[in-house]
Amino acid sequence: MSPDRVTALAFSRSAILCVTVLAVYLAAISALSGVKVSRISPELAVRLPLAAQVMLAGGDRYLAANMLGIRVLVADTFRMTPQEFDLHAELQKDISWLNPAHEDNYYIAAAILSEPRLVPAAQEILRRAADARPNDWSPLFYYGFNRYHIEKNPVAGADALLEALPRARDQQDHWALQNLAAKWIERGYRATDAARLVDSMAKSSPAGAFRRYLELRAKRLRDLDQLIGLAADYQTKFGRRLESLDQLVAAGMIRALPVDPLGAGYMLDKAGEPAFRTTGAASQKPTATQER
Amino acid sequence: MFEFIVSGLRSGIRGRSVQGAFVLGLTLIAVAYLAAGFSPRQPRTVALDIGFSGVRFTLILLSLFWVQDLVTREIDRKIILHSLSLPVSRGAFLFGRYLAVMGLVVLTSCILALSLMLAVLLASPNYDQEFSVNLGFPFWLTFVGIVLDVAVVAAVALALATVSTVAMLPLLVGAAFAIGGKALGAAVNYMAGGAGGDQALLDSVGPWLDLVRWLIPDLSRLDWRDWPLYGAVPPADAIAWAVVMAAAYVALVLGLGWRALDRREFG
Repeated sequence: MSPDRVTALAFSRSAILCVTVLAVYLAAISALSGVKVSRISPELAVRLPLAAQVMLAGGDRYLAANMLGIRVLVADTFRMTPQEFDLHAELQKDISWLNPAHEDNYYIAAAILSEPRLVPAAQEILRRAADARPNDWSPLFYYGFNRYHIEKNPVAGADALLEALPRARDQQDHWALQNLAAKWIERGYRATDAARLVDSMAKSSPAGAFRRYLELRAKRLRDLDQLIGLAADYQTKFGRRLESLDQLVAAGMIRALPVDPLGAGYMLDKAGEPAFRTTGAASQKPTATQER
Repeated sequence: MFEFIVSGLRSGIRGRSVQGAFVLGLTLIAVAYLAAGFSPRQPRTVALDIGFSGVRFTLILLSLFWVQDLVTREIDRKIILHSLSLPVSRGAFLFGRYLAVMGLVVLTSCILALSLMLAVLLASPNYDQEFSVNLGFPFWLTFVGIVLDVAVVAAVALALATVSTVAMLPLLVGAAFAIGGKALGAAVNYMAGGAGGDQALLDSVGPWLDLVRWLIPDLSRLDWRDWPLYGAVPPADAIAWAVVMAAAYVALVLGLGWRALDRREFG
Protein backbone atom coordinates (compact mmCIF):
# COMPACT_ATOMS: atom_id res chain seq x y z
CA MET A 1 0.00 0.00 0.00
CA SER A 2 1.40 3.39 -1.01
CA PRO A 3 2.07 6.04 1.71
CA ASP A 4 -0.53 8.36 0.10
CA ARG A 5 -3.18 5.68 0.37
CA VAL A 6 -2.27 5.02 4.05
CA THR A 7 -2.61 8.74 4.82
CA ALA A 8 -5.95 8.96 2.99
CA LEU A 9 -7.25 5.89 4.88
CA ALA A 10 -6.17 7.34 8.26
CA PHE A 11 -7.82 10.65 7.40
CA SER A 12 -11.12 9.02 6.42
CA ARG A 13 -11.07 6.93 9.64
CA SER A 14 -10.52 9.99 11.83
CA ALA A 15 -13.24 11.87 9.91
CA ILE A 16 -15.70 9.00 10.47
CA LEU A 17 -14.77 8.96 14.18
CA CYS A 18 -15.30 12.74 14.51
CA VAL A 19 -18.67 12.63 12.72
CA THR A 20 -19.83 9.69 14.87
CA VAL A 21 -18.78 11.37 18.12
CA LEU A 22 -20.44 14.62 17.02
CA ALA A 23 -23.67 12.74 16.29
CA VAL A 24 -23.55 11.08 19.72
CA TYR A 25 -22.88 14.45 21.36
CA LEU A 26 -25.82 16.12 19.57
CA ALA A 27 -28.08 13.16 20.44
CA ALA A 28 -27.10 13.50 24.11
CA ILE A 29 -27.89 17.25 24.09
CA SER A 30 -31.22 16.61 22.42
CA ALA A 31 -32.11 13.84 24.90
CA LEU A 32 -31.09 15.98 27.89
CA SER A 33 -33.28 18.89 26.80
CA GLY A 34 -36.33 16.62 27.16
CA VAL A 35 -35.33 15.29 30.61
CA LYS A 36 -36.46 17.34 33.56
CA VAL A 37 -33.94 17.96 36.34
CA SER A 38 -35.03 16.17 39.51
CA ARG A 39 -36.25 18.63 42.15
CA ILE A 40 -34.09 18.38 45.20
CA SER A 41 -34.54 20.61 48.22
CA PRO A 42 -33.65 24.16 47.12
CA GLU A 43 -31.89 24.68 50.43
CA LEU A 44 -29.54 21.78 49.76
CA ALA A 45 -29.05 22.96 46.20
CA VAL A 46 -27.85 26.43 47.13
CA ARG A 47 -26.85 26.37 50.78
CA LEU A 48 -23.73 24.42 51.57
CA PRO A 49 -22.84 23.34 55.09
CA LEU A 50 -20.64 25.87 56.88
CA ALA A 51 -17.64 23.54 56.91
CA ALA A 52 -17.87 23.10 53.13
CA GLN A 53 -18.11 26.85 52.62
CA VAL A 54 -14.97 27.42 54.72
CA MET A 55 -13.04 24.68 52.90
CA LEU A 56 -14.08 26.03 49.47
CA ALA A 57 -12.65 29.38 50.51
CA GLY A 58 -9.30 27.74 51.28
CA GLY A 59 -10.02 27.69 55.02
CA ASP A 60 -10.56 31.46 55.04
CA ARG A 61 -13.88 32.26 56.77
CA TYR A 62 -13.70 35.94 55.81
CA LEU A 63 -13.45 35.02 52.14
CA ALA A 64 -16.33 32.55 52.55
CA ALA A 65 -18.41 35.35 54.11
CA ASN A 66 -17.61 37.72 51.24
CA MET A 67 -18.44 35.15 48.56
CA LEU A 68 -21.77 34.41 50.26
CA GLY A 69 -22.33 38.13 50.82
CA ILE A 70 -22.08 38.86 47.10
CA ARG A 71 -24.62 36.08 46.43
CA VAL A 72 -27.05 37.61 48.90
CA LEU A 73 -26.50 41.10 47.53
CA VAL A 74 -27.40 40.21 43.96
CA ALA A 75 -30.68 38.51 44.98
CA ASP A 76 -33.73 40.28 43.55
CA THR A 77 -35.90 40.92 46.62
CA PHE A 78 -38.89 41.97 44.49
CA ARG A 79 -39.27 38.51 42.97
CA MET A 80 -38.52 36.34 46.00
CA THR A 81 -41.07 33.78 47.24
CA PRO A 82 -41.62 33.25 51.00
CA GLN A 83 -39.47 30.09 50.79
CA GLU A 84 -36.69 32.08 49.17
CA PHE A 85 -36.92 34.68 51.92
CA ASP A 86 -36.52 31.85 54.47
CA LEU A 87 -33.44 30.62 52.60
CA HIS A 88 -32.14 34.17 52.35
CA ALA A 89 -32.40 34.46 56.14
CA GLU A 90 -30.44 31.23 56.58
CA LEU A 91 -27.71 32.40 54.19
CA GLN A 92 -27.45 35.69 56.05
CA LYS A 93 -27.13 33.79 59.34
CA ASP A 94 -24.29 31.82 57.74
CA ILE A 95 -22.52 35.06 56.76
CA SER A 96 -23.02 36.34 60.27
CA TRP A 97 -21.41 33.21 61.69
CA LEU A 98 -18.49 33.42 59.26
CA ASN A 99 -17.94 37.14 59.81
CA PRO A 100 -20.29 38.70 62.39
CA ALA A 101 -18.92 42.20 61.72
CA HIS A 102 -19.95 42.20 58.02
CA GLU A 103 -21.67 45.59 57.62
CA ASP A 104 -23.60 44.88 54.40
CA ASN A 105 -24.95 41.69 55.94
CA TYR A 106 -26.45 43.22 59.06
CA TYR A 107 -27.80 46.19 57.10
CA ILE A 108 -29.54 43.96 54.54
CA ALA A 109 -30.86 41.73 57.34
CA ALA A 110 -32.34 44.80 59.06
CA ALA A 111 -33.92 45.95 55.81
CA ILE A 112 -35.13 42.72 54.24
CA LEU A 113 -35.86 40.27 57.06
CA SER A 114 -38.86 42.27 58.23
CA GLU A 115 -41.57 39.57 58.19
CA PRO A 116 -42.34 38.51 61.77
CA ARG A 117 -41.21 34.92 61.09
CA LEU A 118 -37.86 36.19 59.76
CA VAL A 119 -37.22 38.70 62.51
CA PRO A 120 -35.58 36.19 64.92
CA ALA A 121 -32.91 35.59 62.23
CA ALA A 122 -32.48 39.35 61.77
CA GLN A 123 -32.17 39.84 65.53
CA GLU A 124 -29.51 37.10 65.78
CA ILE A 125 -27.51 38.74 62.98
CA LEU A 126 -27.89 42.22 64.48
CA ARG A 127 -26.91 41.10 67.98
CA ARG A 128 -23.77 39.37 66.65
CA ALA A 129 -22.90 42.47 64.63
CA ALA A 130 -23.40 44.69 67.69
CA ASP A 131 -20.97 42.50 69.66
CA ALA A 132 -18.39 42.35 66.84
CA ARG A 133 -18.44 46.05 65.94
CA PRO A 134 -17.54 47.95 69.09
CA ASN A 135 -17.68 51.41 67.47
CA ASP A 136 -20.90 51.03 65.50
CA TRP A 137 -24.25 51.99 67.07
CA SER A 138 -26.32 51.04 64.01
CA PRO A 139 -26.76 47.27 64.69
CA LEU A 140 -28.14 48.07 68.14
CA PHE A 141 -30.37 50.74 66.64
CA TYR A 142 -31.92 48.27 64.16
CA TYR A 143 -32.08 45.61 66.85
CA GLY A 144 -34.00 48.05 69.05
CA PHE A 145 -36.18 49.08 66.11
CA ASN A 146 -37.26 45.45 65.58
CA ARG A 147 -38.08 45.08 69.25
CA TYR A 148 -40.12 48.26 69.04
CA HIS A 149 -41.79 47.75 65.68
CA ILE A 150 -42.17 43.97 65.34
CA GLU A 151 -42.48 42.94 68.97
CA LYS A 152 -44.37 46.15 69.82
CA ASN A 153 -42.16 46.45 72.89
CA PRO A 154 -41.14 50.13 73.13
CA VAL A 155 -39.30 49.67 76.44
CA ALA A 156 -37.08 46.84 75.14
CA GLY A 157 -36.48 48.87 71.97
CA ALA A 158 -35.48 51.91 74.01
CA ASP A 159 -33.10 49.74 76.09
CA ALA A 160 -31.22 48.77 72.92
CA LEU A 161 -30.99 52.44 71.89
CA LEU A 162 -29.59 53.34 75.30
CA GLU A 163 -27.03 50.52 74.97
CA ALA A 164 -26.01 52.07 71.62
CA LEU A 165 -25.56 55.57 73.13
CA PRO A 166 -21.87 55.28 74.19
CA ARG A 167 -20.95 54.21 70.64
CA ALA A 168 -22.34 57.37 68.98
CA ARG A 169 -19.29 59.53 68.21
CA ASP A 170 -21.34 62.36 66.75
CA GLN A 171 -23.17 64.54 69.30
CA GLN A 172 -26.20 64.81 66.99
CA ASP A 173 -26.46 61.00 66.80
CA HIS A 174 -26.13 60.85 70.57
CA TRP A 175 -29.00 63.27 71.10
CA ALA A 176 -31.14 61.63 68.40
CA LEU A 177 -30.78 58.18 70.02
CA GLN A 178 -31.54 59.57 73.47
CA ASN A 179 -34.53 61.50 72.17
CA LEU A 180 -35.94 58.51 70.29
CA ALA A 181 -35.54 56.21 73.30
CA ALA A 182 -37.45 58.72 75.45
CA LYS A 183 -40.17 59.08 72.78
CA TRP A 184 -40.64 55.31 72.49
CA ILE A 185 -41.00 54.89 76.22
CA GLU A 186 -43.31 57.90 76.53
CA ARG A 187 -45.64 57.39 73.57
CA GLY A 188 -45.55 53.63 73.04
CA TYR A 189 -45.71 52.11 69.53
CA ARG A 190 -46.63 54.20 66.47
CA ALA A 191 -46.39 52.94 62.89
CA THR A 192 -45.62 56.44 61.65
CA ASP A 193 -42.41 56.52 63.74
CA ALA A 194 -41.43 53.18 62.19
CA ALA A 195 -42.16 54.59 58.70
CA ARG A 196 -39.91 57.56 59.37
CA LEU A 197 -37.03 55.27 60.41
CA VAL A 198 -37.37 53.06 57.34
CA ASP A 199 -37.46 56.22 55.20
CA SER A 200 -34.19 57.36 56.75
CA MET A 201 -32.67 53.93 55.98
CA ALA A 202 -33.77 54.36 52.36
CA LYS A 203 -32.22 57.81 52.16
CA SER A 204 -28.87 56.54 53.42
CA SER A 205 -28.79 53.70 50.86
CA PRO A 206 -27.34 54.03 47.36
CA ALA A 207 -29.88 54.55 44.56
CA GLY A 208 -31.23 51.33 43.08
CA ALA A 209 -33.56 48.42 43.75
CA PHE A 210 -32.58 48.16 47.41
CA ARG A 211 -33.52 51.79 48.09
CA ARG A 212 -36.81 51.37 46.18
CA TYR A 213 -37.59 48.35 48.35
CA LEU A 214 -37.06 50.39 51.53
CA GLU A 215 -39.19 53.24 50.18
CA LEU A 216 -42.04 50.79 49.55
CA ARG A 217 -41.64 49.43 53.08
CA ALA A 218 -41.92 52.98 54.43
CA LYS A 219 -45.01 53.64 52.29
CA ARG A 220 -46.85 50.57 53.56
CA LEU A 221 -46.01 51.58 57.13
CA ARG A 222 -47.53 55.02 56.49
CA ASP A 223 -50.62 53.34 54.98
CA LEU A 224 -50.86 51.08 58.01
CA ASP A 225 -50.60 54.08 60.29
CA GLN A 226 -53.47 55.72 58.38
CA LEU A 227 -55.62 52.56 58.79
CA ILE A 228 -54.86 52.42 62.53
CA GLY A 229 -55.92 56.08 62.87
CA LEU A 230 -59.14 55.48 60.90
CA ALA A 231 -59.96 52.38 62.98
CA ALA A 232 -59.71 54.53 66.13
CA ASP A 233 -61.94 57.20 64.52
CA TYR A 234 -64.46 54.51 63.53
CA GLN A 235 -64.70 53.30 67.12
CA THR A 236 -65.20 56.86 68.36
CA LYS A 237 -67.83 57.60 65.73
CA PHE A 238 -69.88 54.37 65.88
CA GLY A 239 -69.09 53.17 69.41
CA ARG A 240 -67.96 49.71 68.28
CA ARG A 241 -64.77 48.12 66.96
CA LEU A 242 -64.13 47.37 63.31
CA GLU A 243 -64.99 43.83 62.20
CA SER A 244 -63.56 44.25 58.73
CA LEU A 245 -61.40 46.87 57.08
CA ASP A 246 -64.02 47.18 54.34
CA GLN A 247 -66.30 48.86 56.91
CA LEU A 248 -64.03 51.90 56.61
CA VAL A 249 -64.89 52.12 52.91
CA ALA A 250 -68.60 51.44 53.56
CA ALA A 251 -68.67 54.21 56.20
CA GLY A 252 -67.17 56.62 53.67
CA MET A 253 -64.08 57.23 55.81
CA ILE A 254 -61.75 56.20 52.98
CA ARG A 255 -62.40 55.90 49.25
CA ALA A 256 -60.54 52.58 48.86
CA LEU A 257 -58.23 50.52 50.99
CA PRO A 258 -54.57 51.15 50.24
CA VAL A 259 -52.85 48.50 48.13
CA ASP A 260 -49.84 46.96 49.87
CA PRO A 261 -46.91 47.56 47.49
CA LEU A 262 -45.20 44.40 48.75
CA GLY A 263 -48.28 42.28 48.11
CA ALA A 264 -49.01 40.88 51.58
CA GLY A 265 -52.00 43.13 52.31
CA TYR A 266 -53.65 44.38 55.50
CA MET A 267 -55.98 42.68 57.96
CA LEU A 268 -57.43 43.04 61.42
CA ASP A 269 -55.43 41.23 64.06
CA LYS A 270 -56.95 39.29 66.96
CA ALA A 271 -57.31 42.52 68.96
CA GLY A 272 -59.19 44.13 66.05
CA GLU A 273 -56.29 46.44 65.16
CA PRO A 274 -55.17 46.92 61.53
CA ALA A 275 -51.92 45.03 60.87
CA PHE A 276 -49.92 43.58 58.01
CA ARG A 277 -51.11 40.22 56.77
CA THR A 278 -48.65 37.51 57.70
CA THR A 279 -48.16 34.15 55.96
CA GLY A 280 -49.54 32.29 58.96
CA ALA A 281 -52.63 34.48 59.29
CA ALA A 282 -55.16 32.17 57.67
CA SER A 283 -57.51 32.54 60.60
CA GLN A 284 -57.68 36.30 60.26
CA LYS A 285 -60.43 38.02 58.33
CA PRO A 286 -59.36 39.14 54.85
CA THR A 287 -60.79 42.33 53.39
CA ALA A 288 -62.90 42.35 50.26
CA THR A 289 -60.35 44.61 48.55
CA GLN A 290 -57.52 42.27 49.32
CA GLU A 291 -59.56 39.27 48.18
CA ARG A 292 -59.99 40.95 44.82
CA MET B 1 24.81 30.23 55.05
CA PHE B 2 24.91 33.72 53.48
CA GLU B 3 25.69 32.21 50.05
CA PHE B 4 22.62 29.99 50.27
CA ILE B 5 20.46 33.01 51.11
CA VAL B 6 21.82 35.12 48.24
CA SER B 7 21.64 32.33 45.66
CA GLY B 8 18.13 31.48 46.89
CA LEU B 9 16.99 35.09 46.53
CA ARG B 10 18.42 35.31 43.00
CA SER B 11 16.90 32.04 41.90
CA GLY B 12 13.54 32.91 43.45
CA ILE B 13 13.27 36.22 41.66
CA ARG B 14 14.19 34.66 38.29
CA GLY B 15 11.74 31.72 38.46
CA ARG B 16 9.01 31.73 35.77
CA SER B 17 6.34 30.05 37.91
CA VAL B 18 7.05 32.58 40.61
CA GLN B 19 6.58 35.47 38.23
CA GLY B 20 3.29 33.91 37.16
CA ALA B 21 2.14 33.60 40.76
CA PHE B 22 3.14 37.21 41.38
CA VAL B 23 0.98 38.33 38.46
CA LEU B 24 -1.81 36.24 40.00
CA GLY B 25 -1.38 38.22 43.23
CA LEU B 26 -1.77 41.52 41.41
CA THR B 27 -4.80 40.09 39.58
CA LEU B 28 -6.39 39.11 42.88
CA ILE B 29 -5.89 42.65 44.12
CA ALA B 30 -7.65 43.88 40.97
CA VAL B 31 -10.47 41.42 41.80
CA ALA B 32 -10.63 42.91 45.30
CA TYR B 33 -10.96 46.36 43.75
CA LEU B 34 -13.81 45.15 41.52
CA ALA B 35 -15.50 43.32 44.43
CA ALA B 36 -15.91 46.68 46.16
CA GLY B 37 -18.57 47.45 43.55
CA PHE B 38 -20.82 44.78 45.09
CA SER B 39 -20.96 46.46 48.48
CA PRO B 40 -23.58 49.14 49.10
CA ARG B 41 -22.31 50.21 52.54
CA GLN B 42 -18.64 49.26 52.90
CA PRO B 43 -16.92 49.05 49.49
CA ARG B 44 -13.44 49.78 50.81
CA THR B 45 -13.84 47.29 53.66
CA VAL B 46 -14.86 44.57 51.17
CA ALA B 47 -11.93 45.48 48.87
CA LEU B 48 -9.48 45.26 51.78
CA ASP B 49 -11.04 42.08 53.16
CA ILE B 50 -10.91 40.24 49.83
CA GLY B 51 -7.46 41.73 49.21
CA PHE B 52 -6.12 40.21 52.46
CA SER B 53 -7.51 36.82 51.43
CA GLY B 54 -5.98 37.17 47.95
CA VAL B 55 -2.59 38.20 49.33
CA ARG B 56 -2.52 35.28 51.75
CA PHE B 57 -3.45 32.85 48.95
CA THR B 58 -0.75 34.27 46.68
CA LEU B 59 1.99 34.28 49.32
CA ILE B 60 1.22 30.68 50.31
CA LEU B 61 1.41 29.64 46.66
CA LEU B 62 4.64 31.59 46.08
CA SER B 63 6.33 30.22 49.19
CA LEU B 64 5.48 26.65 48.15
CA PHE B 65 6.87 27.29 44.66
CA TRP B 66 10.03 28.73 46.17
CA VAL B 67 10.48 25.72 48.46
CA GLN B 68 9.90 23.54 45.41
CA ASP B 69 12.45 25.49 43.33
CA LEU B 70 15.14 26.00 45.97
CA VAL B 71 15.07 22.74 47.91
CA THR B 72 12.84 19.98 46.53
CA ARG B 73 14.16 20.28 42.97
CA GLU B 74 17.78 20.46 44.19
CA ILE B 75 17.29 17.26 46.15
CA ASP B 76 15.39 15.60 43.32
CA ARG B 77 18.07 16.42 40.71
CA LYS B 78 20.92 15.74 43.15
CA ILE B 79 22.15 19.31 42.65
CA ILE B 80 22.20 19.49 46.42
CA LEU B 81 25.40 17.40 46.36
CA HIS B 82 27.26 20.43 44.98
CA SER B 83 25.96 22.58 47.81
CA LEU B 84 26.75 19.97 50.42
CA SER B 85 30.31 19.52 49.08
CA LEU B 86 31.06 23.01 50.42
CA PRO B 87 32.56 23.14 53.91
CA VAL B 88 29.27 24.04 55.57
CA SER B 89 26.78 22.07 57.60
CA ARG B 90 23.55 20.73 56.13
CA GLY B 91 21.74 22.87 58.70
CA ALA B 92 23.30 25.99 57.13
CA PHE B 93 21.90 24.93 53.75
CA LEU B 94 18.42 24.33 55.21
CA PHE B 95 18.23 27.54 57.25
CA GLY B 96 19.85 29.55 54.44
CA ARG B 97 17.20 28.38 52.00
CA TYR B 98 14.42 29.02 54.54
CA LEU B 99 15.66 32.57 55.13
CA ALA B 100 15.87 33.09 51.35
CA VAL B 101 12.24 31.95 50.97
CA MET B 102 11.16 34.22 53.82
CA GLY B 103 13.16 37.12 52.38
CA LEU B 104 11.28 36.69 49.11
CA VAL B 105 7.98 36.43 51.00
CA VAL B 106 8.64 39.67 52.90
CA LEU B 107 9.69 41.47 49.71
CA THR B 108 6.61 40.29 47.80
CA SER B 109 4.26 41.01 50.69
CA CYS B 110 5.52 44.62 50.79
CA ILE B 111 4.80 45.04 47.07
CA LEU B 112 1.37 43.39 47.38
CA ALA B 113 0.57 45.45 50.50
CA LEU B 114 1.29 48.71 48.68
CA SER B 115 -0.74 47.53 45.65
CA LEU B 116 -3.63 46.58 47.93
CA MET B 117 -3.46 49.91 49.72
CA LEU B 118 -3.70 51.69 46.36
CA ALA B 119 -6.62 49.48 45.25
CA VAL B 120 -8.50 50.25 48.50
CA LEU B 121 -7.88 53.99 48.22
CA LEU B 122 -9.13 54.00 44.62
CA ALA B 123 -12.18 51.81 45.34
CA SER B 124 -15.55 53.55 45.17
CA PRO B 125 -14.27 57.15 45.07
CA ASN B 126 -17.79 58.66 45.03
CA TYR B 127 -19.01 57.05 48.25
CA ASP B 128 -17.69 58.04 51.65
CA GLN B 129 -18.42 55.05 53.88
CA GLU B 130 -19.27 55.76 57.51
CA PHE B 131 -16.65 53.45 59.02
CA SER B 132 -13.43 53.86 57.09
CA VAL B 133 -10.75 51.17 57.04
CA ASN B 134 -7.51 51.75 58.93
CA LEU B 135 -4.51 51.60 56.57
CA GLY B 136 -2.00 52.52 59.25
CA PHE B 137 -0.49 50.30 61.93
CA PRO B 138 -3.39 47.76 62.02
CA PHE B 139 -3.03 47.23 58.25
CA TRP B 140 0.68 46.46 58.56
CA LEU B 141 0.16 44.32 61.65
CA THR B 142 -2.29 42.22 59.65
CA PHE B 143 0.41 41.77 57.01
CA VAL B 144 2.85 40.66 59.72
CA GLY B 145 0.26 38.03 60.70
CA ILE B 146 -0.06 36.87 57.09
CA VAL B 147 3.74 36.62 56.76
CA LEU B 148 3.91 34.56 59.97
CA ASP B 149 1.15 32.32 58.63
CA VAL B 150 3.16 31.82 55.42
CA ALA B 151 6.33 31.24 57.47
CA VAL B 152 4.68 28.28 59.21
CA VAL B 153 3.45 26.78 55.92
CA ALA B 154 6.86 27.28 54.26
CA ALA B 155 8.64 25.63 57.21
CA VAL B 156 6.35 22.60 56.99
CA ALA B 157 6.89 22.31 53.22
CA LEU B 158 10.66 22.66 53.71
CA ALA B 159 10.76 20.00 56.43
CA LEU B 160 8.75 17.67 54.18
CA ALA B 161 11.17 18.29 51.33
CA THR B 162 14.02 16.92 53.45
CA VAL B 163 12.33 13.51 53.76
CA SER B 164 10.21 13.33 50.63
CA THR B 165 11.24 11.21 47.67
CA VAL B 166 8.29 12.46 45.61
CA ALA B 167 8.92 15.90 44.12
CA MET B 168 5.34 17.18 44.31
CA LEU B 169 4.67 16.00 47.87
CA PRO B 170 5.89 19.14 49.75
CA LEU B 171 3.83 21.34 47.41
CA LEU B 172 0.61 19.33 47.79
CA VAL B 173 0.90 18.59 51.50
CA GLY B 174 1.97 22.19 52.15
CA ALA B 175 -1.16 23.47 50.37
CA ALA B 176 -3.36 21.03 52.31
CA PHE B 177 -1.68 22.12 55.56
CA ALA B 178 -2.32 25.79 54.70
CA ILE B 179 -6.04 25.12 54.17
CA GLY B 180 -6.39 22.81 57.18
CA GLY B 181 -4.53 25.13 59.54
CA LYS B 182 -6.57 28.12 58.44
CA ALA B 183 -9.90 26.24 58.69
CA LEU B 184 -9.05 24.74 62.08
CA GLY B 185 -10.20 27.80 64.04
CA ALA B 186 -13.58 27.84 62.27
CA ALA B 187 -14.00 24.10 62.88
CA VAL B 188 -13.15 24.36 66.59
CA ASN B 189 -15.46 27.37 66.90
CA TYR B 190 -18.29 25.49 65.19
CA MET B 191 -17.92 22.46 67.44
CA ALA B 192 -17.64 24.64 70.55
CA GLY B 193 -20.93 26.29 69.52
CA GLY B 194 -22.70 22.91 69.55
CA ALA B 195 -22.23 22.06 65.81
CA GLY B 196 -25.68 23.47 65.02
CA GLY B 197 -27.25 20.92 67.38
CA ASP B 198 -25.77 17.93 65.51
CA GLN B 199 -24.87 15.62 68.40
CA ALA B 200 -23.70 12.82 66.07
CA LEU B 201 -21.16 15.16 64.49
CA LEU B 202 -19.99 16.31 67.91
CA ASP B 203 -19.50 12.71 69.03
CA SER B 204 -17.73 11.54 65.85
CA VAL B 205 -15.56 14.53 64.90
CA GLY B 206 -15.13 16.22 68.28
CA PRO B 207 -12.47 13.83 69.71
CA TRP B 208 -10.48 13.92 66.43
CA LEU B 209 -10.57 17.67 66.36
CA ASP B 210 -9.30 17.77 69.94
CA LEU B 211 -6.28 15.74 68.81
CA VAL B 212 -5.71 17.63 65.54
CA ARG B 213 -5.63 21.04 67.22
CA TRP B 214 -2.47 19.97 69.07
CA LEU B 215 -0.77 18.67 65.92
CA ILE B 216 -1.65 21.49 63.53
CA PRO B 217 -1.39 25.13 64.63
CA ASP B 218 -4.54 27.21 64.32
CA LEU B 219 -3.39 29.62 61.60
CA SER B 220 -6.60 31.68 61.87
CA ARG B 221 -5.14 32.98 65.15
CA LEU B 222 -2.64 34.91 63.03
CA ASP B 223 -5.44 36.70 61.19
CA TRP B 224 -5.91 40.12 62.80
CA ARG B 225 -7.86 41.80 60.01
CA ASP B 226 -10.78 42.73 62.28
CA TRP B 227 -8.65 45.64 63.45
CA PRO B 228 -8.06 47.42 60.10
CA LEU B 229 -11.50 46.41 58.80
CA TYR B 230 -13.77 47.09 61.77
CA GLY B 231 -11.67 48.74 64.45
CA ALA B 232 -11.98 45.68 66.73
CA VAL B 233 -8.58 45.64 68.45
CA PRO B 234 -7.44 42.07 69.20
CA PRO B 235 -6.29 41.47 72.79
CA ALA B 236 -2.50 41.85 73.16
CA ASP B 237 -2.14 38.42 74.75
CA ALA B 238 -4.00 36.80 71.83
CA ILE B 239 -1.47 38.36 69.43
CA ALA B 240 1.53 37.51 71.61
CA TRP B 241 0.55 33.85 72.11
CA ALA B 242 -0.24 33.43 68.41
CA VAL B 243 3.25 34.73 67.54
CA VAL B 244 4.82 32.38 70.11
CA MET B 245 2.80 29.46 68.70
CA ALA B 246 3.91 30.22 65.13
CA ALA B 247 7.57 30.78 66.04
CA ALA B 248 7.74 27.61 68.13
CA TYR B 249 6.10 25.54 65.38
CA VAL B 250 8.50 26.92 62.75
CA ALA B 251 11.49 26.12 65.01
CA LEU B 252 10.12 22.64 65.72
CA VAL B 253 9.51 21.61 62.11
CA LEU B 254 12.78 23.16 60.89
CA GLY B 255 14.61 21.32 63.70
CA LEU B 256 13.02 18.05 62.61
CA GLY B 257 13.87 18.87 58.97
CA TRP B 258 17.50 19.57 59.91
CA ARG B 259 17.71 16.26 61.72
CA ALA B 260 16.18 14.41 58.77
CA LEU B 261 18.52 16.12 56.29
CA ASP B 262 21.55 15.27 58.41
CA ARG B 263 20.61 11.61 58.33
CA ARG B 264 19.62 11.45 54.68
CA GLU B 265 21.93 9.75 52.24
CA PHE B 266 22.06 11.01 48.70
CA GLY B 267 23.14 8.08 46.59
